[in-house]
Amino acid sequence: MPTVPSTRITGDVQRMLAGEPISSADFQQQASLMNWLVGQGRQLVPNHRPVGDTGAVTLSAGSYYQYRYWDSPTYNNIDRLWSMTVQGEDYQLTVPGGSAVDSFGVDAPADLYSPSNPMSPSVFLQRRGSYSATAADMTLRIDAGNADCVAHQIGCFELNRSHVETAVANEGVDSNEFGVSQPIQRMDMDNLMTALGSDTTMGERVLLNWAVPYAVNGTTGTAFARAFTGASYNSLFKAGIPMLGRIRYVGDTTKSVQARIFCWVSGGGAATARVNYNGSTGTPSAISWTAGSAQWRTFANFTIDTEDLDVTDGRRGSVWKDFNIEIAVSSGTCYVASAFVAENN
Amino acid sequence: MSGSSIWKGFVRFDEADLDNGESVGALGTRRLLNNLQHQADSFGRVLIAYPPVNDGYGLQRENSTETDLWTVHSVWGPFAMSVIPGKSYKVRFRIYGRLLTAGSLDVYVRLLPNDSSMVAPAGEIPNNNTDGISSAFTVTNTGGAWLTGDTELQLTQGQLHRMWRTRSTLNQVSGDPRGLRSPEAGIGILLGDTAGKLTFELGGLYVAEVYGDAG
Repeated sequence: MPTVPSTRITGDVQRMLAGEPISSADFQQQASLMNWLVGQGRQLVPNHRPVGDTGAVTLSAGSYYQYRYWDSPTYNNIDRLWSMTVQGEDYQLTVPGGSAVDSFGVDAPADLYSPSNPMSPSVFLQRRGSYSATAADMTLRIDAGNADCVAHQIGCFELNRSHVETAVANEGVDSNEFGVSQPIQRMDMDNLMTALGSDTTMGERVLLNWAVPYAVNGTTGTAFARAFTGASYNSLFKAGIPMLGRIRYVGDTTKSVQARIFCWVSGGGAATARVNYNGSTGTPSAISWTAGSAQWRTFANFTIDTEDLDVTDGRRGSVWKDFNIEIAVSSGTCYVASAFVAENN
Repeated sequence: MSGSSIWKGFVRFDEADLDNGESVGALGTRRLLNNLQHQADSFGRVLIAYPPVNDGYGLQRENSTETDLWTVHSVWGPFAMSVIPGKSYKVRFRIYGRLLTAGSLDVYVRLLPNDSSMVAPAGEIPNNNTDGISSAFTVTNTGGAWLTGDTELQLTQGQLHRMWRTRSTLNQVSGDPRGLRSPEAGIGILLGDTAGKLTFELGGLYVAEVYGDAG
C-alpha cells in the first residue's frame, strides 16, 4: 500500500518540455504528490470558544451539554483528534459515535489561571470504522463532573493518513507503476486522472464550525444559544470573522460556499436569516422559517473572495473580508446554537 | 516558481488526450503536474475561527508585573500543519480583544510546538528571536475591536523540527497500527509585562494556513 509523504512533494513542471522525454522520476513525483494530497486531513472544526455573545458560560456540575456540529469529512479519513480546553475539576467527553472518555485519562488542567499550570489543551481520539465523505450532523457531549466547568476551546482535525489504498475511491497511486525503463500504460494514469476530477473535494476548506450548547441534560434549551427578537436584523457575532476561499481555475477571484445554522423559533413566531459578506447582504436570498423543532437550515450557495497567492498573507487586496449572519424575527424568539460555512466546489 | 503550479490555477484538458492508444506527451504531463501542484498550492486549513463576542464574554487573564516576563494568556490547538520542504511555514491571523481597564499592554501571538503537554513557554521575552512570534500589539482600547498590526506568522525551516510528533493510527480502516510522524502546532496568546496588572480579554481569533507559492 503506498505511503503518504509527511511533507509535500514539489515536482518541477518546467522540466517537461515538448519533444523531450519525461523521466520515470517525474511520474513518481506526481504519484507521491497525489498520495500526499489524498492523505491530508481536514480541519473539521476550526478551534473556537464555544460561548455566545450573551447567555450562559458555565457548565454546571452534574449536568451534560450537547453541541451540534456539521461534519464534512474527507473520504480517506480514519482518525480524528478533538482538542478541548475545559477549566474545571473533572469532566467527560463523548465524541460523535464514541463512548465517554474521562478527562482524568488525559492531561486536563484544573485551573487555567494558575501561573504554574497554564491552560493546556487535551486531545481525544475519534476513530471511524468505514470510509465516507458523506456530510452529516454530529453531536459532541460534555459532562461536567463534581464541579462547574467552562469550556474554553473546542476544535477537531482529521489526522493525516500514513498509507492510502489504490482503490479508485481512495485515489492512492502506486509509484511502482512508473518504474525506470518500464512502459507507462494508460491504466497507470487512472488514479492521477481521477485526482483531477476530485479537485473540488481535495483541500476543501471548512471556514467556520461554531457551536454553543443547544441542549442541557438531553433537552433543547435556551440558556446558551444566541437569542434574537425584533423585526430589525441583528448579527449572530459581535463582528464578522475573516473568510477567504481557495483558487480553483486560473483567474478565479471568487469561491462558492455553503452556509447553514442550527436554530429554532419559540413563541409561535417566524424568523428570517441572511448572510453578510464584506458588508453585502443581497446574496444569497434570505431564508425564513416558522416555529418548530431545532434543526439545521441551509442558505443557498453564495460566493466569497478567493485568496491571492501573490500576496504574502493571501489577503486579496490586502484587506480583510469578513463574514457574519443576521437574524430578524417577526414575533417570538429565534435561537441559534451553531453555524457552519464551508467550500462546496 | 520551481516546485509550484506555473499557471497558478487549475487547467482544464480533455481526458481523452490520455486515452488508451494515445501517447503520454510532455504537454499533457505538464498540465497534469501543474494541476496537482495547484491543488497543493491552494491547500490550506482554517485552524481557528473564533468569531468575536460581546465584551465580557471573551477569555480574560491578567498579565505579570515582573520585568521581561511573558504571561501565557491562552493556548489554542493543536492542529496539523502542511509543510513544504525548504520553505517556511506561514499562517494568516487576526486577533480581537480589549483591556478591562485603561492602560497599555503589549500582546503577542506565537506559533507553538505541540510537544509534551504543549504548555506555552514562560520566561523572559526574547529580544533576538522573533521567528514565529508577532510584533507587539499595543492594546489600549477598552471596547472590543480587531487589533491592528501583523497579519502573518512564519516559522523557518530551522524551527520546524520542534513541530514534529508521532501519533498512532491505522494503515487502513480496521487495519494494522502504524506510527504517523507529522508536524503539529498550536497558537499561544502571550502578554507582556507592565508596572501594574492589566487584564486582557481575548474576544475573537482567526488563524489560517497560507500555503501557496508566494515565497
